Amino acid sequence: MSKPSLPAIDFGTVGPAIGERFPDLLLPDQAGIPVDIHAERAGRRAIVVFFRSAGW
Amino acid sequence: MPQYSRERVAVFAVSPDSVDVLGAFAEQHGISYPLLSDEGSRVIRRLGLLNRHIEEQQRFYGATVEERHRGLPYPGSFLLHQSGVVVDKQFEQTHRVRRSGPVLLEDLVDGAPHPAGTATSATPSGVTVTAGAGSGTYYPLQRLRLHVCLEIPPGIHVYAAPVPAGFVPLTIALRPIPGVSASEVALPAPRSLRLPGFDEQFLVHDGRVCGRVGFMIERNIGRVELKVGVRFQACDDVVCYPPSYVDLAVALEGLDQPA
Repeated sequence: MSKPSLPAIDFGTVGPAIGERFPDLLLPDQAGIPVDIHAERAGRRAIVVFFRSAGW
Repeated sequence: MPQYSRERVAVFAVSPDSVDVLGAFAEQHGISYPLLSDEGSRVIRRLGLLNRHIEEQQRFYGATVEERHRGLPYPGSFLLHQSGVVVDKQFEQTHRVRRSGPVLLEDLVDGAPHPAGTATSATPSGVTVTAGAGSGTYYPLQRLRLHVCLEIPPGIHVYAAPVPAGFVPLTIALRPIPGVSASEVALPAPRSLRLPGFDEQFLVHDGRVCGRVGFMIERNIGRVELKVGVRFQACDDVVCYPPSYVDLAVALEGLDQPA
């Protein structure tokens, strides 16, 4: 049996692309208050991080 | 990263956690920027970020796929311009690895080293050497980066390899530690310098020069002391100082993954 390997993923084609407007997102924050990221950043640059979990 | 979240760059972190889990985490760690709950992974799916390789990845790690793995996003970050357009994105190949806050900021925002100087040494030539990891702590499998910077006074240069016989080039070496994997040391390109009375050109660094070493610690092995040896020779246009050997230690305390 061959040794398992990590799949190589081309992230250039995964999710919103460079040069596109980042989609509108409306999600509840840690206090349960809905946050619209484009409204909240109010013209600032932004980092949007996707992470697996704050719980594990 | 709270110091960046208010003024220059807004920070948002999205996960499939419930509001309750995020609320507890934010309170425990004093996080003020928005942690956004995508419970059910609806947005993660809509954006095409659902991790579709989880089975292969878990097999690689010799682990099984559990229910909690089903709605995971690919781990990564987008940098948005003031206009809202994506200007950069950076992803990890697996959900087990994460970037530290300072590495993320350096990669996405500043493009420049972010040293929280934790160790500094001055040398007779006036060159000061600083090493820092931008953080005093680490999590297992977090991508971290050590910056080793030389502040070279005006009129002074240090030699870069290759050097003529008798000169010592700038080298930065991280002493290997079991359980710590480190990349090669990356140094900026030197410039060429022609000195009066010499036919040949020399390669030199001057001003502020920073070497970078990426590193990752697999498990929480407690306090880790990264020991860096920096070797260089500083000269002005006329005289050279004896070679300098600077040893710096940068300590990081281990943290477990948030329970």
